Amino acid sequence: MNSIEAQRAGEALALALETAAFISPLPAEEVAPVASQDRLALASIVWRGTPGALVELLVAPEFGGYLAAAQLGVEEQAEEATLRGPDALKELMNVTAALLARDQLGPESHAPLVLGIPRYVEVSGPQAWREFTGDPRADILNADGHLLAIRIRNENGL
Amino acid sequence: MGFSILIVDDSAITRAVIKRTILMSGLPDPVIHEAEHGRAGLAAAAQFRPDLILADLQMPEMDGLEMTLKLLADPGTRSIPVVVVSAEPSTSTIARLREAGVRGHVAKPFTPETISRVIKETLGGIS
Repeated sequence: MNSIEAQRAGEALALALETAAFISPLPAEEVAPVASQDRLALASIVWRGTPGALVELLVAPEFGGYLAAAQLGVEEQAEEATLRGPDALKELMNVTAALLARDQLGPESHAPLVLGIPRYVEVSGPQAWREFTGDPRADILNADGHLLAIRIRNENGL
Repeated sequence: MGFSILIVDDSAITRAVIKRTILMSGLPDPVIHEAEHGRAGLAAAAQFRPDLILADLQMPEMDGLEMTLKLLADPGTRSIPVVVVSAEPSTSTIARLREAGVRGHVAKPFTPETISRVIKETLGGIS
């Protein structure tokens, strides 16, 4: 069973997608298909505070293009959407982490907290997917057929 | 010529979304400038003297907090309204910016309607 933190991360991700791109993900019922992909996109961001956290998102790289297309109002196959895919995923992490941090701190908190710059790398698909989705701190969503795995860990990645 | 708006954000997708929103907002002939970090934003503000600056906070090179405080401290740019468009979760940072003279704050994630409304309100109550 996923942790409460994982569910909160999934809820923040869903809210970010619904608000910024009108994409409404649901809890995933089947998580196996993405593992067959050779390469996956790993977007991440750290926030430092009390406590800090590392938020990571693992998806097929194509989801970045899908997200960018939804935000820009263009076809998924459009060159602009493909080019903007990695940036769309990084910005999605930025917004999701901010929602999580605000939720954690509360609306009136003045506790010091600094969001980092989001990062994007491509990783080996099957191995990363198995490790990531086997972690109880991960939540998995289905957004229009795209599987999204999100995880929240402490800021040192532990 | 219409309003001139400078978008300062390291996210190209965010700049593109805001630009598209402005172009669809009904503002007459808007002129849009872009910068991808605070240092470039300062240079663009000095060069173009826009009617409005939309600024992110978390950026490389120079962050939006430093850029905005420099803009507000410079007699040549302090009259340009700045609206922060950011995922910034710290209410103390937003409060500090408001005290310094920032005109508004739009929290990410935002809808196009929110950005459009805030831009129009800031540019003079165009509905």
